[in-house]
Amino acid sequence: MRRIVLVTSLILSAAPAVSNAAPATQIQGAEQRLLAAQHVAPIPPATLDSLRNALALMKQDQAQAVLFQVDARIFAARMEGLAEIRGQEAQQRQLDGLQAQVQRLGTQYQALQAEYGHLRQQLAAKTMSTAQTQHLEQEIQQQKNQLQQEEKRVAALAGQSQQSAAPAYAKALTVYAQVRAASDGVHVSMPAASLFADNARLSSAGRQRLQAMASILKQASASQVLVRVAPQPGGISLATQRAEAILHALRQDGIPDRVLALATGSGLTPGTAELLLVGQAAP
Amino acid sequence: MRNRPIRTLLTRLGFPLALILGLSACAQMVQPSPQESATGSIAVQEGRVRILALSPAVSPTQLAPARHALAAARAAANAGNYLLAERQTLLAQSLLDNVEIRLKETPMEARKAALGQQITDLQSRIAATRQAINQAKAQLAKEGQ
Repeated sequence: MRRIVLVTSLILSAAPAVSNAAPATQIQGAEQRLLAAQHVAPIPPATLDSLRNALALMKQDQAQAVLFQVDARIFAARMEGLAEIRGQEAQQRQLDGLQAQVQRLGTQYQALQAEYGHLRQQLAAKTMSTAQTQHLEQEIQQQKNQLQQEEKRVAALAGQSQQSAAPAYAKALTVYAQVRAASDGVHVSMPAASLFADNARLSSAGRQRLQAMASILKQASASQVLVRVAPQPGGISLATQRAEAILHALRQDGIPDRVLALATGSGLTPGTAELLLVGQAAP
Repeated sequence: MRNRPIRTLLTRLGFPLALILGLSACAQMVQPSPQESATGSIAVQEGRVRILALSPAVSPTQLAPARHALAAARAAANAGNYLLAERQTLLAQSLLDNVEIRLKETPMEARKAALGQQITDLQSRIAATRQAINQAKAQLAKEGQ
């Protein structure tokens, strides 16, 4: 009976200690939670004050179980609020990161757009240049074709002229005079001074030259040989006299009289005498 | 003649005394009783509950703990336990603070979703532009040959 009374009294005496031990443990746990939260990151001053106040209330009311439980819930609610705030801060950091990513991507997109625009310009210029080159190439080809046709035509004409001309006769004449073929005939021109000693009298060298030319002209089949002398400073009569002297010399050298004729010397280069062989193709 | 100084002294003390008594009476009139104080604090938090309940972003479940705390506070105040009423009101206030903090998270989530969409869109555009650039480069190389 004594033992039972002793045990009961021991339990009853220990009961307040046990009931006090629970709040003390809770307070200790709360303090540890607060320290841990502070260790993770600084707590905003207002939040820290409210948590410390709640902790102080817990300590103050630890003897009164009902009040203590409410204080503990207040502390827990405030710790929860701190966790929410920290969660929001983390979310804000995440948002900032996303915002930075959007900005980075935007810049990258703009740079790529600029590059694409530049490439499109290059492409357009290239396409235009290619089109122009193609157009020019076509034109060049056309010109080449025309040139080839012209060359063929010239070659054909040259062949015809080679067939109809008398190369030996023309070449022979070029020794004594300048020979030029034209539509009206073959112009054989020479300086009048090389034929005449004075006004209307042939020099010996001039006589010999006409003689040599006459021997060549005899081989030619000209229907007419027109003798022309450019108007002299001495007057038209001097030019006519010189032309007659040339005609007379040629007649003496065997050129048929029916072929020979005088013609006006107007239009000739001053100081030149000319034999125009009509009915002769260009050499 | 002897009573004259005493009377003068009493006259001099009378005015400040009357003033002190009057002011203390006024202070007594202004100072709320513990019951009024507890009821007032509870009413303030109940008002917050009503306002938060109007928000479509706040569910009744979120407000339930605060409502329970306020009910307990009112019961304690009615029972004359003003200290418990004050603690329960404080608990309700902390719980409502948390609800308000959570309310701020909603726009953040929406903004996060919008930014995510924006990022996806930009990435898609960048991929398309890169493809177009590669095509243009290939075409340029082809033209150059």
